[in-house]
Amino acid sequence: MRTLPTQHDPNGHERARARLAPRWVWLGAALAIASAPFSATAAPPTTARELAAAAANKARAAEFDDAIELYEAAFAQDPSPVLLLNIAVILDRQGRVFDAIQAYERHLSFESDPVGRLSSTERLAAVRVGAPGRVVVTGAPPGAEVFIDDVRVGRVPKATADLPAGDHSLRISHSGYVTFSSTIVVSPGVKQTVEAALAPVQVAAPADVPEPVPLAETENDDDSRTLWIWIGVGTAITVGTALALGLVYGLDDGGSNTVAPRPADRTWSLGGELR
Amino acid sequence: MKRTLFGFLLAGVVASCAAEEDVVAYDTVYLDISLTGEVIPPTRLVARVMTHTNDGPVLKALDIDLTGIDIASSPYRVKLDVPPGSPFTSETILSVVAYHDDTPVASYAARPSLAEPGDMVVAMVPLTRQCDSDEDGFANCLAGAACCDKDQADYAHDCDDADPAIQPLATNPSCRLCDGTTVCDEGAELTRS
Repeated sequence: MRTLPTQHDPNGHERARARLAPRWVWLGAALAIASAPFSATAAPPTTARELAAAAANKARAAEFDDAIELYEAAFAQDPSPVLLLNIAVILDRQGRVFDAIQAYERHLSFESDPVGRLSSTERLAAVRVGAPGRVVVTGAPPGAEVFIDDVRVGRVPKATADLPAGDHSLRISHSGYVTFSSTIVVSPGVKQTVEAALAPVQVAAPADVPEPVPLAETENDDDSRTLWIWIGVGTAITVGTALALGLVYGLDDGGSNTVAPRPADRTWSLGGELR
Repeated sequence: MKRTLFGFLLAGVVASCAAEEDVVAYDTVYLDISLTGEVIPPTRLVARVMTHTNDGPVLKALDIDLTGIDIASSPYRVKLDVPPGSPFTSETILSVVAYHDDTPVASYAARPSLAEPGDMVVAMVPLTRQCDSDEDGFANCLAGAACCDKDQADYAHDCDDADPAIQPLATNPSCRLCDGTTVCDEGAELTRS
């Protein structure tokens, strides 16, 4: 009888516990710091635990840049993913949409615990909803003017614009070059880079008459044809065998070697309307 | 190439013919819900599953009346109907809480794979005031080894056993992040003091 993983035998839970264990250390540290009066003569934080606690204090005091710096320092000493989540939340609260998105994605790249990933994923989705998209135009020639929706947004390679999601017209022009026009699709919270490559305006030269291209010689397909024949034969035999086995073991109850699971007291449907 | 094709074919035929023993023809997951230890006889069970979709968390609950049923003597068996495409085939938290009237008396939590059919043993652990002081049905695993299965602390542990709003199946993500760094209050989830 096949048995699913249980509380006593979960897949990968040993690893998860081993990784989560430091979180309780963080909790203990946070509680200890909060319960003790903060001394002005306290030594500057040096350990990852002290740095994280100091970062939490800075965050509470709305000193967000300092808090991020301290969380980064803590993370450098002890790469606990939750430190990255705190950085992302701070950036999110500051309204730094693109930085927050980047930070949430960074957290997700380190976090393997499903609960932590769930939290980050939901926050990331919430940040992206209604967020503008960022368009950066780089490339050549430098100095080319960039217009989006007929509004000049800058010159290549430093033209950047945050735009509402949807279609926008893009035009890049430079004297001596062929103007480039296109439509760009901006997605919320997504940064996209447009690489400009304007073609120089050239005086038309007499067109070269291309030489006729000879038709490709017909290859000898014997080997290929033989291969396909064998593949066809193999497939036919396999399907036929599978059907025969299905008739012997599947459709004939008398010859079946399977038994039905014990009957249930109750059936619980996980389909249909969700709440 | 020809030898390879025949090799695959032969291996398939041999593998198909080799399994002769009886196997259980599972088509879904069965929960065998039981009690461990001394527990006041529960009068009802609440089973909940939670997972995440692009539209946010989704939760489904099943309320089971245990009147006249003694799950201490034989497990209560629930067949899960998990249709293809159900969000619960991905990462899912399963929680089962046994109540005596309105008081939680035992609980179980796990992160099973509901996409793999088979039997799943749901052995509930007794809940006391020491384990669940806010009586939200989720144990504080730090309160003692008797409160939780050793693995429960990883994914279904009540990190704030004084606030029933904070528990692993809360729909507000801030309220179920049991890492001690976030708090549940709206707009102040940076750190827990």
